[in-house]
Amino acid sequence: MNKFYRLRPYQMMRSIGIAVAFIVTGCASIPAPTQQMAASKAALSDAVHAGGSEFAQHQLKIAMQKMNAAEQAMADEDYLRAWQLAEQVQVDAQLAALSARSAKAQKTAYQLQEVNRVLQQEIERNVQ
Amino acid sequence: MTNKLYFPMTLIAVAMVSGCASMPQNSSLVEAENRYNRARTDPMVTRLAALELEIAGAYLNKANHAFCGQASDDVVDHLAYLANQQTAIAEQTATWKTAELLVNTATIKRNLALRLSKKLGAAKRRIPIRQQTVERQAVELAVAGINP
Repeated sequence: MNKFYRLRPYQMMRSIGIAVAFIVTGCASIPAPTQQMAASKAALSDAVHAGGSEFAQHQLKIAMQKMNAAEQAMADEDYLRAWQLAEQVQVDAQLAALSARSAKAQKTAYQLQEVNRVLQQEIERNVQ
Repeated sequence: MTNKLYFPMTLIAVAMVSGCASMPQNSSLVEAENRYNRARTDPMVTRLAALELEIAGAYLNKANHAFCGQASDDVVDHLAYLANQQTAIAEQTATWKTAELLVNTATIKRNLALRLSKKLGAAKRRIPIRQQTVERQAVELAVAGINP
Protein backbone atom coordinates (compact mmCIF):
# COMPACT_ATOMS: atom_id res chain seq x y z
CA MET A 1 0.00 0.00 0.00
CA ASN A 2 1.38 3.42 -0.78
CA LYS A 3 1.82 6.26 1.65
CA PHE A 4 -0.73 8.49 -0.10
CA TYR A 5 -3.48 5.96 0.50
CA ARG A 6 -2.78 5.76 4.23
CA LEU A 7 -2.83 9.53 4.66
CA ARG A 8 -6.03 10.35 2.88
CA PRO A 9 -8.64 9.10 5.37
CA TYR A 10 -7.28 11.39 8.11
CA GLN A 11 -7.20 14.35 5.78
CA MET A 12 -10.72 13.55 4.78
CA MET A 13 -11.98 13.37 8.39
CA ARG A 14 -10.68 16.90 8.87
CA SER A 15 -12.11 18.18 5.63
CA ILE A 16 -15.57 16.69 6.35
CA GLY A 17 -15.85 18.87 9.44
CA ILE A 18 -14.74 22.05 7.69
CA ALA A 19 -16.90 21.47 4.62
CA VAL A 20 -20.01 20.57 6.59
CA ALA A 21 -19.61 23.57 8.85
CA PHE A 22 -19.80 25.81 5.81
CA ILE A 23 -22.49 23.90 3.96
CA VAL A 24 -24.89 23.38 6.87
CA THR A 25 -24.69 26.92 8.17
CA GLY A 26 -25.23 28.13 4.62
CA CYS A 27 -22.47 30.64 5.14
CA ALA A 28 -22.88 33.51 2.71
CA SER A 29 -19.18 34.12 2.16
CA ILE A 30 -17.63 30.72 1.49
CA PRO A 31 -13.90 30.97 0.79
CA ALA A 32 -12.61 29.52 -2.47
CA PRO A 33 -12.03 25.80 -1.80
CA THR A 34 -8.49 25.81 -3.18
CA GLN A 35 -7.21 23.09 -0.79
CA GLN A 36 -10.14 20.83 -1.58
CA MET A 37 -9.63 21.42 -5.31
CA ALA A 38 -5.96 20.44 -4.94
CA ALA A 39 -6.86 17.31 -2.90
CA SER A 40 -9.41 16.30 -5.54
CA LYS A 41 -6.92 16.78 -8.37
CA ALA A 42 -4.38 14.69 -6.46
CA ALA A 43 -6.99 11.95 -5.97
CA LEU A 44 -7.77 12.07 -9.70
CA SER A 45 -4.15 11.70 -10.75
CA ASP A 46 -3.76 8.86 -8.25
CA ALA A 47 -6.75 7.13 -9.87
CA VAL A 48 -5.13 7.54 -13.31
CA HIS A 49 -1.82 6.28 -11.91
CA ALA A 50 -3.60 3.24 -10.41
CA GLY A 51 -4.86 2.30 -13.88
CA GLY A 52 -8.29 3.87 -13.65
CA SER A 53 -8.42 4.63 -17.39
CA GLU A 54 -8.18 0.92 -18.07
CA PHE A 55 -9.94 -0.71 -15.13
CA ALA A 56 -12.44 1.95 -13.95
CA GLN A 57 -13.06 3.90 -17.12
CA HIS A 58 -16.66 4.92 -16.43
CA GLN A 59 -16.05 6.00 -12.81
CA LEU A 60 -12.98 7.98 -13.81
CA LYS A 61 -14.82 9.68 -16.66
CA ILE A 62 -17.59 10.86 -14.31
CA ALA A 63 -15.02 12.13 -11.80
CA MET A 64 -13.21 14.05 -14.56
CA GLN A 65 -16.46 15.62 -15.76
CA LYS A 66 -17.22 16.70 -12.18
CA MET A 67 -13.71 18.14 -11.86
CA ASN A 68 -14.29 20.23 -14.98
CA ALA A 69 -17.62 21.42 -13.56
CA ALA A 70 -15.85 22.28 -10.28
CA GLU A 71 -13.25 24.32 -12.20
CA GLN A 72 -16.07 26.14 -13.96
CA ALA A 73 -17.83 26.81 -10.62
CA MET A 74 -14.55 28.21 -9.27
CA ALA A 75 -14.30 30.53 -12.29
CA ASP A 76 -17.92 31.61 -11.70
CA GLU A 77 -17.06 32.16 -8.00
CA ASP A 78 -19.84 29.72 -7.07
CA TYR A 79 -17.72 28.33 -4.25
CA LEU A 80 -20.39 26.19 -2.58
CA ARG A 81 -20.98 24.36 -5.86
CA ALA A 82 -17.22 24.10 -6.45
CA TRP A 83 -16.76 22.72 -2.93
CA GLN A 84 -19.49 20.10 -3.28
CA LEU A 85 -18.28 19.00 -6.71
CA ALA A 86 -14.65 18.82 -5.60
CA GLU A 87 -15.62 16.75 -2.54
CA GLN A 88 -17.52 14.37 -4.78
CA VAL A 89 -14.55 14.16 -7.15
CA GLN A 90 -12.34 13.12 -4.23
CA VAL A 91 -14.53 10.17 -3.19
CA ASP A 92 -15.31 9.23 -6.81
CA ALA A 93 -11.60 9.23 -7.70
CA GLN A 94 -10.68 7.24 -4.60
CA LEU A 95 -13.30 4.66 -5.50
CA ALA A 96 -12.04 4.53 -9.10
CA ALA A 97 -8.45 4.03 -7.89
CA LEU A 98 -9.51 1.24 -5.53
CA SER A 99 -11.63 -0.43 -8.21
CA ALA A 100 -8.63 -0.36 -10.55
CA ARG A 101 -6.28 -1.73 -7.88
CA SER A 102 -8.79 -4.47 -7.01
CA ALA A 103 -9.26 -5.45 -10.66
CA LYS A 104 -5.49 -5.55 -11.23
CA ALA A 105 -4.87 -7.62 -8.10
CA GLN A 106 -7.68 -10.02 -8.99
CA LYS A 107 -6.22 -10.44 -12.48
CA THR A 108 -2.74 -11.12 -11.08
CA ALA A 109 -4.16 -13.58 -8.53
CA TYR A 110 -6.00 -15.45 -11.28
CA GLN A 111 -2.86 -15.63 -13.47
CA LEU A 112 -0.75 -16.88 -10.56
CA GLN A 113 -3.33 -19.52 -9.69
CA GLU A 114 -3.19 -20.71 -13.32
CA VAL A 115 0.63 -20.90 -13.17
CA ASN A 116 0.38 -22.84 -9.91
CA ARG A 117 -2.09 -25.29 -11.43
CA VAL A 118 0.34 -26.04 -14.29
CA LEU A 119 3.29 -26.36 -11.89
CA GLN A 120 1.34 -28.75 -9.68
CA GLN A 121 0.56 -30.98 -12.69
CA GLU A 122 4.26 -30.91 -13.62
CA ILE A 123 5.30 -31.92 -10.10
CA GLU A 124 2.75 -34.73 -10.00
CA ARG A 125 4.09 -36.04 -13.33
CA ASN A 126 7.67 -35.95 -12.01
CA VAL A 127 6.74 -37.80 -8.83
CA GLN A 128 5.09 -40.65 -10.71
CA MET B 1 -37.23 25.50 34.39
CA THR B 2 -34.58 22.86 33.91
CA ASN B 3 -37.10 20.11 34.50
CA LYS B 4 -39.42 21.55 31.88
CA LEU B 5 -36.63 21.36 29.30
CA TYR B 6 -35.95 17.69 29.87
CA PHE B 7 -38.94 16.40 27.93
CA PRO B 8 -38.40 18.35 24.68
CA MET B 9 -34.66 17.63 24.90
CA THR B 10 -35.41 13.91 25.17
CA LEU B 11 -37.72 14.17 22.16
CA ILE B 12 -34.99 15.86 20.16
CA ALA B 13 -32.46 13.22 21.19
CA VAL B 14 -34.86 10.44 20.15
CA ALA B 15 -35.51 12.17 16.83
CA MET B 16 -31.75 12.47 16.20
CA VAL B 17 -31.11 8.83 17.00
CA SER B 18 -34.01 7.53 14.95
CA GLY B 19 -32.98 9.75 12.03
CA CYS B 20 -35.96 12.09 12.42
CA ALA B 21 -38.51 9.30 11.95
CA SER B 22 -41.48 11.65 12.00
CA MET B 23 -40.15 13.66 9.04
CA PRO B 24 -40.64 12.71 5.39
CA GLN B 25 -37.80 10.50 4.16
CA ASN B 26 -34.98 11.60 1.90
CA SER B 27 -34.44 8.78 -0.62
CA SER B 28 -30.68 9.30 -1.09
CA LEU B 29 -30.19 9.34 2.68
CA VAL B 30 -32.21 6.13 3.09
CA GLU B 31 -30.13 4.51 0.33
CA ALA B 32 -26.87 5.59 1.98
CA GLU B 33 -28.08 4.32 5.37
CA ASN B 34 -29.07 0.95 3.94
CA ARG B 35 -25.74 0.52 2.19
CA TYR B 36 -23.82 1.56 5.31
CA ASN B 37 -25.80 -0.86 7.50
CA ARG B 38 -25.15 -3.68 5.06
CA ALA B 39 -21.40 -2.92 5.02
CA ARG B 40 -21.33 -2.68 8.81
CA THR B 41 -22.56 -6.27 9.13
CA ASP B 42 -20.03 -7.58 6.60
CA PRO B 43 -17.13 -9.06 8.60
CA MET B 44 -14.70 -8.62 5.69
CA VAL B 45 -15.42 -4.88 5.57
CA THR B 46 -15.27 -4.38 9.34
CA ARG B 47 -12.02 -6.35 9.55
CA LEU B 48 -10.21 -5.00 6.49
CA ALA B 49 -11.63 -1.47 6.12
CA ALA B 50 -12.52 -0.31 9.63
CA LEU B 51 -11.17 3.22 9.12
CA GLU B 52 -12.89 3.71 5.77
CA LEU B 53 -16.16 2.53 7.31
CA GLU B 54 -15.71 4.91 10.22
CA ILE B 55 -15.41 7.82 7.78
CA ALA B 56 -18.58 6.64 6.02
CA GLY B 57 -20.33 6.65 9.41
CA ALA B 58 -19.13 10.22 10.02
CA TYR B 59 -20.54 11.34 6.64
CA LEU B 60 -23.82 9.60 7.42
CA ASN B 61 -24.04 11.36 10.77
CA LYS B 62 -23.44 14.71 9.10
CA ALA B 63 -26.09 13.91 6.47
CA ASN B 64 -28.56 12.95 9.21
CA HIS B 65 -27.83 16.10 11.18
CA ALA B 66 -28.26 18.21 8.05
CA PHE B 67 -31.55 16.47 7.32
CA CYS B 68 -32.85 16.87 10.88
CA GLY B 69 -31.64 20.47 10.91
CA GLN B 70 -33.86 21.13 7.91
CA ALA B 71 -30.96 21.79 5.57
CA SER B 72 -31.80 22.04 1.87
CA ASP B 73 -32.32 18.86 -0.17
CA ASP B 74 -29.20 19.76 -2.15
CA VAL B 75 -27.03 19.69 0.98
CA VAL B 76 -28.59 16.47 2.32
CA ASP B 77 -28.27 14.77 -1.08
CA HIS B 78 -24.64 15.84 -1.33
CA LEU B 79 -23.73 14.49 2.13
CA ALA B 80 -25.72 11.30 1.49
CA TYR B 81 -23.80 10.88 -1.79
CA LEU B 82 -20.50 11.23 0.07
CA ALA B 83 -21.67 8.68 2.69
CA ASN B 84 -22.73 6.28 -0.04
CA GLN B 85 -19.47 6.59 -1.99
CA GLN B 86 -17.40 6.33 1.18
CA THR B 87 -19.23 3.09 2.07
CA ALA B 88 -18.41 1.85 -1.44
CA ILE B 89 -14.77 2.83 -0.75
CA ALA B 90 -14.85 0.69 2.43
CA GLU B 91 -16.32 -2.26 0.51
CA GLN B 92 -13.81 -1.87 -2.32
CA THR B 93 -10.92 -1.57 0.14
CA ALA B 94 -11.93 -4.95 1.60
CA THR B 95 -12.13 -6.45 -1.91
CA TRP B 96 -8.74 -5.00 -2.83
CA LYS B 97 -7.02 -6.22 0.35
CA THR B 98 -8.54 -9.69 -0.11
CA ALA B 99 -7.22 -9.81 -3.69
CA GLU B 100 -3.76 -8.65 -2.53
CA LEU B 101 -3.74 -11.44 0.08
CA LEU B 102 -4.59 -13.92 -2.65
CA VAL B 103 -1.72 -12.58 -4.78
CA ASN B 104 0.71 -12.92 -1.86
CA THR B 105 -0.37 -16.47 -1.06
CA ALA B 106 -0.26 -17.51 -4.73
CA THR B 107 3.24 -15.97 -5.11
CA ILE B 108 4.55 -17.97 -2.13
CA LYS B 109 2.96 -21.14 -3.53
CA ARG B 110 4.46 -20.49 -6.97
CA ASN B 111 7.96 -19.97 -5.57
CA LEU B 112 7.73 -23.18 -3.55
CA ALA B 113 6.33 -25.10 -6.50
CA LEU B 114 9.12 -23.81 -8.78
CA ARG B 115 11.80 -24.97 -6.33
CA LEU B 116 10.15 -28.34 -5.86
CA SER B 117 9.72 -28.76 -9.61
CA LYS B 118 13.43 -27.97 -10.25
CA LYS B 119 14.60 -30.41 -7.55
CA LEU B 120 12.35 -33.17 -8.84
CA GLY B 121 13.55 -32.58 -12.39
CA ALA B 122 17.19 -32.72 -11.32
CA ALA B 123 16.58 -35.89 -9.27
CA LYS B 124 14.95 -37.56 -12.25
CA ARG B 125 17.92 -36.67 -14.45
CA ARG B 126 20.35 -38.13 -11.90
CA ILE B 127 18.66 -41.57 -11.90
CA PRO B 128 19.77 -42.63 -15.43
CA ILE B 129 23.30 -41.34 -14.72
CA ARG B 130 23.46 -43.50 -11.59
CA GLN B 131 22.20 -46.50 -13.53
CA GLN B 132 24.86 -45.90 -16.20
CA THR B 133 27.56 -45.70 -13.51
CA VAL B 134 26.42 -48.96 -11.92
CA GLU B 135 26.36 -50.69 -15.31
CA ARG B 136 29.83 -49.35 -16.22
CA GLN B 137 31.24 -50.51 -12.88
CA ALA B 138 29.74 -53.98 -13.45
CA VAL B 139 31.35 -54.18 -16.89
CA GLU B 140 34.71 -53.04 -15.45
CA LEU B 141 34.48 -55.69 -12.72
CA ALA B 142 33.57 -58.35 -15.24
CA VAL B 143 36.46 -57.33 -17.49
CA ALA B 144 38.80 -57.41 -14.45
CA GLY B 145 37.47 -60.91 -13.61
CA ILE B 146 38.19 -62.18 -17.10
CA ASN B 147 41.65 -60.62 -17.20
CA PRO B 148 43.08 -61.01 -13.69
